[in-house]
Amino acid sequence: MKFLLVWLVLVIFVGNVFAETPPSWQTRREEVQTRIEERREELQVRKEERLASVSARREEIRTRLQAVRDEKKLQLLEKIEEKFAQINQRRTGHFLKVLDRLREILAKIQSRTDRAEANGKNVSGVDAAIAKATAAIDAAETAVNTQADKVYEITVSDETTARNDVGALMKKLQEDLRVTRDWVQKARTAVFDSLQALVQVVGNDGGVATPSATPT
Amino acid sequence: MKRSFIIILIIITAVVFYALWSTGKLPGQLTESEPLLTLTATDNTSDIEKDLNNLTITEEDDGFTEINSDLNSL
Repeated sequence: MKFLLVWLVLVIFVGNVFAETPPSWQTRREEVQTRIEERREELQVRKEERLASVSARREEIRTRLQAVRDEKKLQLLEKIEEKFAQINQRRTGHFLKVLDRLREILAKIQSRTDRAEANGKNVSGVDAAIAKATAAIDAAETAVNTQADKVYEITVSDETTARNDVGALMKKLQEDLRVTRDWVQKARTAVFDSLQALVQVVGNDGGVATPSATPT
Repeated sequence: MKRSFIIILIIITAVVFYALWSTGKLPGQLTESEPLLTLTATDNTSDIEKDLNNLTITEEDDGFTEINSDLNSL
């Protein structure tokens, strides 16, 4: 009876220990998510500031587009400028989401690396790859935030050249977004390299790890 | 009669407003990018691989197509 009671207490104790200790990668993920939340709050403030500046610009756009006499064209130009801002906001928002996700994935790679190290594996190569990936994500985030702060203002000096002027500005936005996307792609490749370094140390657990460096 | 007409009008306006709002088509409304897929449950290398492969960086934005057609009206 006493023996059974001791076992029961032991089982409850062990059960509690396991119940209260989440897997290490989840702990890391929670840490990463806390940092992401903090950044999101900062980004929200920046987003609100940008939106406020969009409304302010709406009022001064008419001054900038004085050369345009046709009211319909004027309204269309206002609409296009607003679309530029929306696209920039949407694309940079997407890039930031991707970077947040890369941080979460990197947290998983880090925790799997920690487990490997605890099991006596040499993980110096993986640690170096993780450091590179972290730097790549930070650099990409700076590039995305710089892009998010950019404003694409339409300036028309002559109504007849309005189409070309706006077309050129659109190309500029497309090119800027392509460059920003390259930064994010570099960060993704760096995280991919970390995973490859990890696979070289621990092998594949739970399947065949053949990640693709190219996003689909 | 007049009262029920006003109520119906308010309901129709609300429905149209909601439809525009939910599709991000209200003037000046910033639409969000597509959500990412949920992360897998473990930190096994195969799960990490899936997470990486699920992570898509979208190439272009539909907004440019709209602007291109707007340009034709300039």
